[in-house]
Amino acid sequence: MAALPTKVQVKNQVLSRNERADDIARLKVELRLPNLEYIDISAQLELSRALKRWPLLADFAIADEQAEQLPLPVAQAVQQDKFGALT
Amino acid sequence: MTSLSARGVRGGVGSTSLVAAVGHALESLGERVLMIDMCPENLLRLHFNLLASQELGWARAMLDGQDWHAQAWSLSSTLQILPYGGLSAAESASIEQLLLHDPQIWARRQASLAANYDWLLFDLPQRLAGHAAIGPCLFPIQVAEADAACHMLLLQQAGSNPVLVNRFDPGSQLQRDLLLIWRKHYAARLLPLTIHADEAVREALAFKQPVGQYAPDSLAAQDALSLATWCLTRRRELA
Repeated sequence: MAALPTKVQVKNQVLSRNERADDIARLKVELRLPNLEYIDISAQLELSRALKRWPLLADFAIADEQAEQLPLPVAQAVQQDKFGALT
Repeated sequence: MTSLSARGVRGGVGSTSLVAAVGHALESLGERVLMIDMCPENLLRLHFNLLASQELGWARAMLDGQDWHAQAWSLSSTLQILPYGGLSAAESASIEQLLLHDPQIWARRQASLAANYDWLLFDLPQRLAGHAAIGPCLFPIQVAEADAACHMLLLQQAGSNPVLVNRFDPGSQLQRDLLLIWRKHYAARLLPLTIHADEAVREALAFKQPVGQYAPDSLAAQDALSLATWCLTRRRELA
């Protein structure tokens, strides 16, 4: 049986479980850039859509979820019609 | 010995079937398991083909002045079950008073069982605080369904117990949305796995078996096995 490459080892003891599961957190550790600003826009958009879809969930949205909708780099999502022109 | 309890965030989320499934899964992984029914409904035993007319159990024994530990049934050499017993509502209320009055009863009982089992699994009722006082518990799991009622109830409580999503249906937009919100908000509490919605769980009870025995290849049985494996791994990490 072929041995698995051991040159790059994941440092299980150093990272928490969430970090192990989170590629970005692992990248920050590997690059030694703990303060790297990284915003997962698609995840934030998904979360904000989920809250908007259900009025009860939006009414009782947890404070930090609402706050995180604000610092998106664009005020509004850019939309294109089917011919590619901006709307 | 490690204790795990399952308690619904609200009623009817499937805690009893979950305890039966996890008990069966842990035993299949070579662990010695005792499942203890703390619910006055006394339903856990039905997953293991104990006669519906069989009314004995630890609570019945407490009222009748008998030995509580003599009420356990051996399903195999390493899987045993201690039913609650058949009690009227008034009798369960008096058990609740007894347990509230001496909340250490089950801590002492756990200590007396420690040498014989690797796992004690408690099926807890949703409301009765006395019945939920089981002593030390490494995995006090709260069972939820990804619905708005459980969402509101989780928001209202300030607990830190681990939350397990049961009967998860990935085809449901609402359930996917709630899981997304919960993963974000309860990152540390939410277990990294869910138990998927699966008709095999309902069929298993009707067939008087835990789901892992009734339909070992079903999604829910595989999920229960994953949960059991996760518990074994976490126990090692926490030890």
